[in-house]
Amino acid sequence: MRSGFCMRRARRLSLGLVAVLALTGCSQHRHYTPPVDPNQLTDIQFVHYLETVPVVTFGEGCRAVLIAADGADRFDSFAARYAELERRGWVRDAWGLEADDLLDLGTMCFMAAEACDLPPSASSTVLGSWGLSDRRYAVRKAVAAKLVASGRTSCR
Amino acid sequence: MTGGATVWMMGRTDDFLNHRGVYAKPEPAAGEIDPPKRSPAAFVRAYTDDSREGKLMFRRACTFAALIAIGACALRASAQPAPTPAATPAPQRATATPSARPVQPAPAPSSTANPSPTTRPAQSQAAQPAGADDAEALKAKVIEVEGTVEFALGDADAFDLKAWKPVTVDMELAPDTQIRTGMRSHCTLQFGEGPNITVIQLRRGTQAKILEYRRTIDEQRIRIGLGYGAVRGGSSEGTLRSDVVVDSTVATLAKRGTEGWEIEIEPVSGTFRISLSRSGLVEAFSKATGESQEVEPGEYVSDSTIARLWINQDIFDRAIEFYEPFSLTEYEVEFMFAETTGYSSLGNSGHELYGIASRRPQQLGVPTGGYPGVGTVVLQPAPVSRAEGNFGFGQTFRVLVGR
Repeated sequence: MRSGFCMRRARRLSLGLVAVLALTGCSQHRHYTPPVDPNQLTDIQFVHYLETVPVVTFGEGCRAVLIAADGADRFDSFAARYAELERRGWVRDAWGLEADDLLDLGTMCFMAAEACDLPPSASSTVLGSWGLSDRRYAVRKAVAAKLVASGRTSCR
Repeated sequence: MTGGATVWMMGRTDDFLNHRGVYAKPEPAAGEIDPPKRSPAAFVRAYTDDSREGKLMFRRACTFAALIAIGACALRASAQPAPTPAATPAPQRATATPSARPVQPAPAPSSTANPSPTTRPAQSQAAQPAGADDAEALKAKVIEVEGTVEFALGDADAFDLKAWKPVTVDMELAPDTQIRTGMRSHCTLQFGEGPNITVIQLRRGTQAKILEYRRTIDEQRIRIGLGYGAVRGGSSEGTLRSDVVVDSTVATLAKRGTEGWEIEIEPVSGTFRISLSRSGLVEAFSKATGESQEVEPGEYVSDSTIARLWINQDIFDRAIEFYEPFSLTEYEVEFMFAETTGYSSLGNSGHELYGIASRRPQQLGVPTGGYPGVGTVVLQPAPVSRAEGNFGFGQTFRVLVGR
């Protein structure tokens, strides 16, 4: 009898904790203020600026991929870069990412794999084209192409 | 994702596109004209940058020139009266072929004052070289700049925009100078002159600092501090021993008379990769684990393999890819043929390959070994017949020659 009461109490407590986390603590935005505005930096300054930040935003990742793929960034805003990447098929609207969102490994690998035109696997062709696990397949492709240091978890 | 990991991926993407031979062309915006094709001078530059495309074009040009030379020799020989049997025209062809190969630079002469420079171990950073008090402080010379490269004196901040200035060719950089490169950029520094040259190239997305460059009576001492990115280099030792150390927060590379070493690090995650492509010996130290490993030509160590180099590379670095034959050297073709087709036999020592024996050499386009009626290829020493059979492997010498 008493154990059932404890179970119900623990369940309510955990549900409340999940609700609080969902409302407040699961923000995927960066809580770090860079010392300079990265939009004001030239390409070479931006590359070396990235080395100083603890985490990278999606907007910065878009610019990084364009610099790596084209050698230079010809766009002056996130909207223009996103439109260009979307035109090339390197990002997808279904992800719902915004400029301030944190850049995850899968998104970066997807963009890099598309930039390098890595050959797709059968699974990624069938399932990834629908959007199912497209970024997970991209990580595998990027690791196989040695774009990512294999086995490292600290870069996630 | 951390900033360091992002820059690492940017660098690898840059390398991938470079090694594939074509950088992804900047896609023209609406109304913009396609960029012009690359000029021959650009191909020459690409060759100096170890680009696959440049090498390919260079080899094609050499092959084309060799074919023209052979054709000219053949025409000239046919125009002349028939030679006597004692003077066959074969040497003409033999002399034409080597001229098609790129001329390799002659190795630097060895010094009589320094009988075995490559066998001397690299000194630790704390150790002072003999005659350090008489050391002469020197400057490094910039011999090549590609893309965007900047330098700053002292400990200038990365965001101090006024402190960073562009690097140009023939500029001389003193110790305590920081250098950084952008994507698709690199900077090559020359330390020393004459036979005692050390060339160090800062590759894409790299920040490094010249910590020390001095010359003593018998030694040229170079210390490079690597913040992040990749550095490669080589030394031709003549009258002086070249003591080069590339230090970073993750790993340290100490060379022992080498050519073609490279170190690439990512300090945030502690990832590093130290490799040696051509000759000599490199010693790699991992600062995270305190382990060290000697790297021989054709090997590399990374943060995950430094403790067990031999087994990891044996397992994971099997050559299973296929390449265009005309983009490879004859040794690479031979290696790929032996490693990927299963036509070779492993020697008793576990390392030596006993030649190449093919089931159908004519179909594979392999030159024959001069056995009439059989037409197989047998290199030295000949393959060994296995008592247990040759399941999945090339047939043995005895079977091939029909005995």
